[in-house]
Amino acid sequence: MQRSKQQTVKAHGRRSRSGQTLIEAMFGFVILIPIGLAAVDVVTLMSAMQTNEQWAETAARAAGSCTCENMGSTMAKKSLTRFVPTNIISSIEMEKIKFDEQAGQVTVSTVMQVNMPIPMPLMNRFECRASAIQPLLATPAEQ
Amino acid sequence: MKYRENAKRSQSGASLLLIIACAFGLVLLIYGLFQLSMIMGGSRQVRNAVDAGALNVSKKMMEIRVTTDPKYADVSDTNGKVGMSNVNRLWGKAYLINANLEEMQKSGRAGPSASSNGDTAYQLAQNVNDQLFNELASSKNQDIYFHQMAGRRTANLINPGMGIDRTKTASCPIALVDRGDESNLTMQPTQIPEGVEAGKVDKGSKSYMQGYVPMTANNKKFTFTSFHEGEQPHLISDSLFDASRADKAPLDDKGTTIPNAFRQFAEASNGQTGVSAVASAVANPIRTYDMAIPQSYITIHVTNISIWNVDNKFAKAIPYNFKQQRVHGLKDFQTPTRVINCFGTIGGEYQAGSSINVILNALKADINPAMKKLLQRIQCMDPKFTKAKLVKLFEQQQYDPKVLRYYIFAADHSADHTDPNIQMVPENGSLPPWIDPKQWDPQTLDPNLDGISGTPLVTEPTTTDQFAQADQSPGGTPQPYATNTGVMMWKPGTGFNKAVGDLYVQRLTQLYFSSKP
Repeated sequence: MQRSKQQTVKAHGRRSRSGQTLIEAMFGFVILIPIGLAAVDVVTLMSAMQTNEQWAETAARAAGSCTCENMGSTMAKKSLTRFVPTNIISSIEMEKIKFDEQAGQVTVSTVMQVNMPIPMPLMNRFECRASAIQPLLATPAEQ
Repeated sequence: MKYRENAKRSQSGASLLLIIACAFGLVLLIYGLFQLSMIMGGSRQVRNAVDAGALNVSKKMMEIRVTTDPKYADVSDTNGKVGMSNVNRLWGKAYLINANLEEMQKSGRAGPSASSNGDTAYQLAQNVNDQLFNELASSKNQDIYFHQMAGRRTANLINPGMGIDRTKTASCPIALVDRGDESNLTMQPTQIPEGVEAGKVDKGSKSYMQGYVPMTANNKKFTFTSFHEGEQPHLISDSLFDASRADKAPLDDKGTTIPNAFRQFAEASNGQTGVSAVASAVANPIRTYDMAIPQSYITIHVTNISIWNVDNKFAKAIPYNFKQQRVHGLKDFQTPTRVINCFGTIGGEYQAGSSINVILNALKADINPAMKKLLQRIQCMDPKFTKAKLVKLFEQQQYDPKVLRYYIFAADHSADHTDPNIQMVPENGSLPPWIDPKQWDPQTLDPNLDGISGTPLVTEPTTTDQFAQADQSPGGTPQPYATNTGVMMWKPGTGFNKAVGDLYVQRLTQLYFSSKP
């Protein structure tokens, strides 16, 4: 009788230890998983912003090789058509262009729609903006 | 019992520690990745800024201009200056002057001042070139243009709000790329005088002076800057730049050849992390010019002289007009034996008319050598001018007997002398202010011509009684007769003083009479 009592206590001790580990693991996951998921979103957003900057650069360079604003705008937009939409970056568009012939510079701004891979409340979609400035290269030297 | 409790605590603490360690590790990993991403992004920002800055430098270098010498005012820009875009034009004029001189020397037609004129033309061009070179190679100027572009960018992924600075280097690397390719100076092979070799590049229907391949005229080296036609300033690889660096692979001893490529270094740092980038770009003015001496001119003058001889002795000289006419040259001329009246029908060579074209072709000889000289010199004013246009110009111009000479020049109403329109105007006509007809001297001709006439360029074989006839009253023995001949004299000029040549057509009709019955 005494032996069986001792066996019962041992078994209870094992169960409570494993339960505690499980609780600790669960508690850990509750902390780690959101951090990890938030990190994924942050990295995605950072990467998207950098991609947007690069596309703005590409668009500005395309506009810089044109002689007038209309053509510059067309070329900048055309350069952005090479972008292939993904589930994360759904679109990129030229927002505005400033063709300053006097200063010999063109500034192109782009806007990018970014969908978060891990949607969070009120933070499932972002709009990234970037602008780039490039010299106007197509204008001939003064006579 | 105590031992058991301790063991329990340590077991439960182990799990918690593991979780904390994992969380810490994960945060560290995320932080590391974030930093890496920031550095990579910042590096890209710096690279983009340097690329844009380098492109801006190569573009804006065209704005650097230096004042030119008045002798080269006709190849300067609208403000009388020379920059990268038109420096080849300056050298083109200097080259043509020296090429003309070399041809004059080879043909023995160089006058005493010609050689020094060639030297001065070269030296003046070199002075302007060197002045421009110093401005282009200046770190200060490159700094300004680099900051116009790169200074408006930030490397905010490395250090928010921080600008991108051009690395201060002792020297700004410059390069002479695209060696052997075309310059922005178009030319016509026929505008180069005979016996002078010019390096050229044919592209489509156009010929260009060769870039960065020194060529010689009058024992002087001329180097044109390469600029690809229709190309915009663009980035080039470092290897291409390095292979053509002006300091490592110079084209001349002086090392002042105008470069066409520039390299920029820049860096950004937040104190702990520094990122640097380098970019090289090749410049292009996107503008081509014709090689020319825009303000230059040729003179043409003609004299018709009839020499009246009696018994083979000179009696009288009478100029005649550009039409056939009967002249009573010697009235009641007293000879040792009797009095005679001598008549001549002269000017028969001008039966076809009195245009310059008829006058030139009145010489019954091959006038092509003269036409070639004329065309070459006119192409110094307008390389696109053709022989057909020259013939048309001569056909349209009637020679006015009251006019002593005609001027051929390029009328150009554009501010930078790039729209030549070849015209032929008499001395009393509407000449541009840079031609002074009063300088003309009947004996020495135009003092601006630095060549000498030498032997005639074209000599017409003498004809007898073909274009002129003689008769006398009373008749004589032997029968009166008339001969007709003509020469074309060419007095060249280098173009240094604007005069590039004078064509002199001299027609001579000799009439022979006899005192013997």
